[in-house]
Amino acid sequence: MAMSVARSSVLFLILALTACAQDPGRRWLQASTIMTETNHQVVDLHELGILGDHDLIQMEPYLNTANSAVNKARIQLRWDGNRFIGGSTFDTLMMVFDSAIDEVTRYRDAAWTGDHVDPNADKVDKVREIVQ
Amino acid sequence: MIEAQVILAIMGAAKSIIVTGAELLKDTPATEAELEIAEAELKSSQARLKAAIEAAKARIGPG
Repeated sequence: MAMSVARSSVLFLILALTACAQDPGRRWLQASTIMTETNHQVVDLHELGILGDHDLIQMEPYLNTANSAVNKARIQLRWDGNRFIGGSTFDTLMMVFDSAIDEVTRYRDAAWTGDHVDPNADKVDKVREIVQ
Repeated sequence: MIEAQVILAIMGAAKSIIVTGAELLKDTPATEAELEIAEAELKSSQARLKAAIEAAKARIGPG
């Protein structure tokens, strides 16, 4: 339980710092790094047996949403010769990413601790609609 | 066995925190090269995740 709290605290800090990044290119890099590490971590936990097959399948929509948001946000970035420029769609996709990765973390922590998972389905459905 | 798994998981989480923390400390404009490297690593992790999910679905079967 203490580890779960510690990981959640770290993730909260990461998300807070991500939101603080001003440069769109840097902001995407931070989101991409978090997504890459999350993907590997989820598979690692699954291979260790901490996350079961059902856990992984339950997490799939949220993982897909987060990954899709990062992929689409990358397409929105434009190089102006000196730096990357984002835009309103890019900002929206970054918000979608933040929401989806939050749900992934909830699932992962719940599976880790054996707690019942009760995600905010309405919120996730809205996020999925935006990405699709 | 469980203890070994937990230790491995903690090590994995610690690595994630260090890697992610190092990236978050940067605040200079991102370069094209940085994005290309990150994109390749992201695609690789996505492929690994997709394979794991497909294998899990195959084990569970329809329904």
